Amino acid sequence: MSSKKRKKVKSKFTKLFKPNLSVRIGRLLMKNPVMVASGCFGYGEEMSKFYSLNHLGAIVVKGTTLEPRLGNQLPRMAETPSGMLNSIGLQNVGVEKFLKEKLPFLKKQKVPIVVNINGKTKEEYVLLAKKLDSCDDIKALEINISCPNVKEGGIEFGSSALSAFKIVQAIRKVTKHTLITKLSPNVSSLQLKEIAQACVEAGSEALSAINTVLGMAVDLKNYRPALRSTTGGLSGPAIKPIGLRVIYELHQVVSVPLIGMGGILSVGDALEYLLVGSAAVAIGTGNYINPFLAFEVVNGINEYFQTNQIETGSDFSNRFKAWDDCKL
Amino acid sequence: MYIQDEKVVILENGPTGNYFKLIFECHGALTRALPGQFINIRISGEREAFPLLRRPFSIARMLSSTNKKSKRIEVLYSVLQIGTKLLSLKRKGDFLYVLGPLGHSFPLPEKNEETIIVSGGIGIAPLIFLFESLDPQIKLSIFLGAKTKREIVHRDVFKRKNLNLQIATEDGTLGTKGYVTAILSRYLEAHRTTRSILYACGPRAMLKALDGICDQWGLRGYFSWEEKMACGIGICLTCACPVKTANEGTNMVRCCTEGPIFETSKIDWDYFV
Repeated sequence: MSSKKRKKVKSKFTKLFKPNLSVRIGRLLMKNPVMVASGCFGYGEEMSKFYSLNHLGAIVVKGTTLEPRLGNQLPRMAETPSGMLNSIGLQNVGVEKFLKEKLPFLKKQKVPIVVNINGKTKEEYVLLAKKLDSCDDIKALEINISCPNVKEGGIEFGSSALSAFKIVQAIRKVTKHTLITKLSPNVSSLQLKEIAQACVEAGSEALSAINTVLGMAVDLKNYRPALRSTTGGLSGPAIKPIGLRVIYELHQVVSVPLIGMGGILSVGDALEYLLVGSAAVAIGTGNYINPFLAFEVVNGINEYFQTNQIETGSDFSNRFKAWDDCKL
Repeated sequence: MYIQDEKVVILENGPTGNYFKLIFECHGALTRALPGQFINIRISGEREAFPLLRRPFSIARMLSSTNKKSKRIEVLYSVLQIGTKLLSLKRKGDFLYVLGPLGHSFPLPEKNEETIIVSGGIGIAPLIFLFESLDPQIKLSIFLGAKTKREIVHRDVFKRKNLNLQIATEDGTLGTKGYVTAILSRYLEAHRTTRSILYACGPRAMLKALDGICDQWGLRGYFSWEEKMACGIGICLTCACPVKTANEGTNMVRCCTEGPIFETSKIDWDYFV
């Protein structure tokens, strides 16, 4: 068969069934459920060399703070079995430089931009949200109350329902943007549910999970912790089961859209997250191993939905079959 | 610069001295790599996640191929941990995914500038490619340092007219016994060159000593910098390198993107104290 003819046949086939991949995260409308996770995609510019960013559902940019941050001391990373332990420490250019130098490039893309915000205090979160509020090119804010690698703020706020509630509520008052709260897995299952409910009650329109899992690696040769900061955040396939469990549990207790992440390295991984209840997924560490991964996952989900005659993401998650109650 | 993730075929992979030599054939963007640039190799298979991250390597040589459109890249590496161990087990005919070319290349010497190359151990890798790309007419001195004789590889490559090649090994099995920085200092004292550019790659302690030598003799020093790296493409901020800012502050830049070649006078050496 000539290649021309083959193309024709294929296009006829795709006309037969076209899934609708678009999802709504709060008031943020995405053309597909594939996002890229904060801190794993820079500000998009580097990745635009590999594929057009317009293929993505949304881009979550590097965690942003009021002032520029140099990040933590070196070494900042250690590889662990099927995982990567990092302690970057929110190195970023600060909000002013972000708006002036990084946003103009992102604006030109036809992809929604989500800014991940971090503060040492509640006031800092509020100030940041205010500074970003007037910018209509930003479609949502992701409140990071789960960074394990900073001394002040970060995970401190994400470890109790009350402090999470206060932060989200304060930000909700000063911004019109859609709010997503990024949750930490470094709490008990019970706490996690309480924190999630508190965030939603305070006005978070979606939840993303999980941030990295607190861990440690040892450099046996030098009798030292492998990271300069001793502990760090674990990501990669090693934490996928934790991510899936968290999304599954959150799905039971909140009705807002969930963004699932943690160890997605293939289309199959992304589908697993969608099946257990996340409306969207985010690719993090996977970008480092395969720069084309997010693009491949978008196409892969589309193909899977086509092949299996699934119309929308919620149709797919409805196929999830929980076991009957298990006697433990 | 165009970057590609190319599936390449291994032509050769085996020990050379205390190190390993890997040669593969490439066709795309990798054929246009410049000396000092590096590649990020995926050692795990396509659907596997072990080892999870790619491993960055300097390009040691760019060899011509039987096919005009393709080139052969040689990588020299030292087997240290699981990543390089697994790489050393790959055989001729196996596939690898190679991302590159990445980072900046060495700046070329200016006219009438004497060129000095200093390597320590496996740090010789990017400097071979540099040597082979230099104008054969320029005044050139090469100082190779290593722990022992078996770590001085590719000595036969460094051949040309009027080349000053000196070797130092810590155990004295080849060349002068001692550090490479000592033979370099002796050379500089004897010749007192004014306009010189120094290229180096090697252990951090050697580079620190070379920074002092560059400062003392007024040399322009360009070092190929090594830091733990995850992505190699500038998105993870793992491989930070401290550099001085205009107002005497420190800034952390990415070794993979702003580097891996740094001018030593720009590096904030105090950061490591």
